[in-house]
Amino acid sequence: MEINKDYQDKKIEFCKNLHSKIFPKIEPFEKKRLQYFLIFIIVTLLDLFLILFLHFCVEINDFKAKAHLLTLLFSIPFIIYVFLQKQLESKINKTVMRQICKSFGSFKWSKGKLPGDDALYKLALIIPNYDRATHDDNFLGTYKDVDILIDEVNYEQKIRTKSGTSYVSVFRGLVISLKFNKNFSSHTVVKNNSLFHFSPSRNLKHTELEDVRFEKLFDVYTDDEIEARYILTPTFMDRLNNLKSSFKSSNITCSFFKNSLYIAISTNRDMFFMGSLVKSILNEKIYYKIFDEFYSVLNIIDVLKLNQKIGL
Amino acid sequence: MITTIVLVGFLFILFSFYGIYVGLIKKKNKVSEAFASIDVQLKKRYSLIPNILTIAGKFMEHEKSLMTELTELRTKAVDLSSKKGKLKEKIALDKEISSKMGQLMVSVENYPQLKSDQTMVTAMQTYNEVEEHISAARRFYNSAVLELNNAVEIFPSSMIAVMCGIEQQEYFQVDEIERKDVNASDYLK
Repeated sequence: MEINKDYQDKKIEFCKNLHSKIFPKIEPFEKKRLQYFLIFIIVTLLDLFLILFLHFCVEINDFKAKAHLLTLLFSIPFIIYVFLQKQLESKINKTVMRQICKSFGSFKWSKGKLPGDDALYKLALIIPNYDRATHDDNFLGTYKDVDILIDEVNYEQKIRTKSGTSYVSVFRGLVISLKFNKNFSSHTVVKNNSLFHFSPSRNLKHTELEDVRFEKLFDVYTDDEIEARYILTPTFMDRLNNLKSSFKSSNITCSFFKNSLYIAISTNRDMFFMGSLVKSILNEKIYYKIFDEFYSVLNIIDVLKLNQKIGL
Repeated sequence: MITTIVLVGFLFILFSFYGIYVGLIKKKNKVSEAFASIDVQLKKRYSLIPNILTIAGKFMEHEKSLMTELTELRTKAVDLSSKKGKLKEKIALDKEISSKMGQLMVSVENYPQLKSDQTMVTAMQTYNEVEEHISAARRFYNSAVLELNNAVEIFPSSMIAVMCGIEQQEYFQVDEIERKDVNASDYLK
């Protein structure tokens, strides 16, 4: 009940700020959005006309060249759409994100890579091997006295195809770094349950804990069995079970490393997304959704009770 | 041909039994390792007790008998920890010390000066962390004992366990008193 009341209070405050501070600032961009949408429609129609013209009126004997040309022409509207949408998003992002951060206290929003995080995530064994990383929105701040960093990332691996190399996404979602409420020197990783317990590292051994429901959902790997049990008390295991239920994502990985808790939640979509060309940017639902997404991440601190130091 | 099959079959059975034997020894050693790790945590607790008693002694004039008991128990425990085996005695002594320390922690509430003393606060926080580590060590021990007991009870490893003299081990268990529901009126008088 306490959590719901807190959510309601913050939502009411955000709703007030949405109408009094955000909408007046982003209203001019609604006109911009319509212009961009018009540009997109015109470019698409011209492109379609060009495709039809090339296909029916122009003779190209080289089939390969024709295929390449048509592929290029088909992709132009998508490229234009993404470009214009990114332009629009960059204009309204700063205003909206600042207000969301203000609703939750001392948070800073930024876009792009923060120095050093990928290497740390890899050491913590929270992310798979990758060749390319793209960082989107990230939030840094303190919530209920717990330091938290929320990083929206997309990790891709290079694969060889017949036509050359391309990239395939191996992880898309959120990586959350939190200050843990216990001191420990070991490394413990909690992954989704699997049939064969392949350890993410040679140093980490699979260990079984007492909670039956937890064992069905997760596998635990650690280099110190006692510290793993010191961290993963029966109460904490129960909270991790609840965390998995609260997020609709099936893939949650936790790593307890260097006195911090790292959580990787695979979402396979762009979270905190706003600035669609086809929908009005003055639609409240877009911003309430972003607010809810942000709150659900911060709620991890309440679910896991990281702001309490009672040993459970 | 038949000789080869018999030989292969015999070797297979031999290696299987050897594998089971190795598994049993590993489980037995894991129980020993787990028990030793409880000892390590208990030693940390025993090192901390004199510090807490020294700080508390300055303020808690009316708890002298409790502190004397704790000192005696601590001396016994340190003496016992250097001896191998003696599992039952160690468990019994550990429970007594936990109980007395619990009484001391409750008594601290009656001395506001002591409660707000920073060194006491730090000592109690450290003590609580050590207790959590002891609890984790006990869980590790019970988990190791469970694995060993399963191997000792289930065929065919039970056969080899009997041959090697490997027996079931006891778990770390709470007392019957600790299982009962706590009646707040017993404390709030």
